[in-house]
Amino acid sequence: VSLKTKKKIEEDFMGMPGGKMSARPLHFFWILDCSGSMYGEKVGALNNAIREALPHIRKVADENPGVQVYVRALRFSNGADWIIKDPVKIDSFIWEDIKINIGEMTNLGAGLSLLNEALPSIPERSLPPVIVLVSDGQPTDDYKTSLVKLKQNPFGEKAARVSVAIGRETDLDVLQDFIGKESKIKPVQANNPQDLVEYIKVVSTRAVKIASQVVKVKDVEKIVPETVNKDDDDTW
Amino acid sequence: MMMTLGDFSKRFMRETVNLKSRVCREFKEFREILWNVNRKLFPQKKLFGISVKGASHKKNGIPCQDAVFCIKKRGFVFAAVADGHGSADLSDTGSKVAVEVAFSVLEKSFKKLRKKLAQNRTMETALKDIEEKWRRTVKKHYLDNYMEEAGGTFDDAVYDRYGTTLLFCIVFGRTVIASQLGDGEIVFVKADGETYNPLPESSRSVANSTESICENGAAKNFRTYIKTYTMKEKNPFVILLSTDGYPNSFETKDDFLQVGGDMAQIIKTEGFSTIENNLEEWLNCSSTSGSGDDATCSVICLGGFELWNLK
Repeated sequence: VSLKTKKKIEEDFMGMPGGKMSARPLHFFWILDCSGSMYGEKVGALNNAIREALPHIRKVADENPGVQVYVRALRFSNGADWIIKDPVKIDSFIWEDIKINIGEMTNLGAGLSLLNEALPSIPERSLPPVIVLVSDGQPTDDYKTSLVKLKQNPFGEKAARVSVAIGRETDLDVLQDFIGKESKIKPVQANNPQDLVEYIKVVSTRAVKIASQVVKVKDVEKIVPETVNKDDDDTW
Repeated sequence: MMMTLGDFSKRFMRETVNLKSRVCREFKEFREILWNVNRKLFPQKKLFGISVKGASHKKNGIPCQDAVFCIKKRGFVFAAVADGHGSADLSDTGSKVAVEVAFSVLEKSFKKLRKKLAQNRTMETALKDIEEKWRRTVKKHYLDNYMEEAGGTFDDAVYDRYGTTLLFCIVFGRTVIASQLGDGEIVFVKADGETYNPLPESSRSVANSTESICENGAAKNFRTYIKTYTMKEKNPFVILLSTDGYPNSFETKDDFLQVGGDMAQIIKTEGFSTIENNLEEWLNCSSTSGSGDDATCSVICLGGFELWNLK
């Protein structure tokens, strides 16, 4: 390359043909149940679990140089609102404890509806998103309509959808419906704070890992942890 | 001095031979000049393509699953790229088979393809042949190499292990045929640097999902562009074929399309050799700074093709 052209390439093309380059975005969503029943130890454990999971998600992201993980979080109770609305890079993501109001409902449908509003903003070249639903109860609104819409969206359909149940009172059928009734992925049930920390960590990191590697989405079946703690330690 | 009839005859023959050889020599020289003028005015079509292993593949010890095949034959140029699926363990073989099979089928169909009225029908048949031949070849590969694992039987699910996309382009005379199955990009670049996709987008190529040649009836999922350009039409100066690892390294689609315009500019100012010398490095850099995936790009420069537009 002649000096003249080289200089031109450096100036105009930033060294190479084409425009700006960057790693492929991977959008990660926490969908968190903040109903009244989460009050007390459960929400404390959830805050702790998410905080514990973050360094592990960062590590997975670092291991995949072609991926940039962006995190968002939303809560649902009587309605739904964003905890973190704009995507934040995992490197600079800080978790601030969520608080619970006693007596609030479990409007999962409102939460999924809010998520549906955000999906069209995902850039076309993004990897399949990861959506982690954490809940401890049964929906108190019509969640099915929002869920159908979620699965109709190309990114919603292809997303690595996983869910963590907190305690035995959770409606696992709803969580399975969220994942997909035909899916081999099952919701994981945490019956004590230690399990919750472990499951949130494992499920989140594996989902990111699978979605990060340029592989078919069917491999998300490998997300669910193989081992489940014994019933002896159950507190919920 | 009188010349005898015999002498005259001999001399006539000698002169005739001399004249003939002079005419031949001059005709050869004329042809040489014409050829050189033609080469200057209508440079030969050039093509180059290369695959590089993705940054994440290097890190995780995964082979390059992309393949590329470029060839210039008498009467046509052909380029193909393929991207073996990441989840398919034998897709590096699947992609190589795909580009080779595409070439062999189109080479055989070339005579028919030249007949303008039969082009659509010939391509339909060719795409079916590509699908069938790909399936036959990978089946043979599997049975030859994994006989023990196969246990003497062959399950159709094995095709998924060889799954790949396939994009190819054949150019002859003033005709361009481009066809694509699955993700990746075929980009046409006009002489003024304007870029465009000649093929419609696939609704299935989102969030890492893609059509594949391993699917039953894959031939009908090819998107195909056939066009014979007239003297008055603006035709492509450069054609790019790339697997998705390259475009996915750019922030937006426009950032990637700019590659076409920049390459056309480089070819015009520096010549095609600059592309040949630098493409590998460009792809490596894009994979490292971008998608981390294998990246493949094939560049066809139609050269004098474009000059037909000059008045």
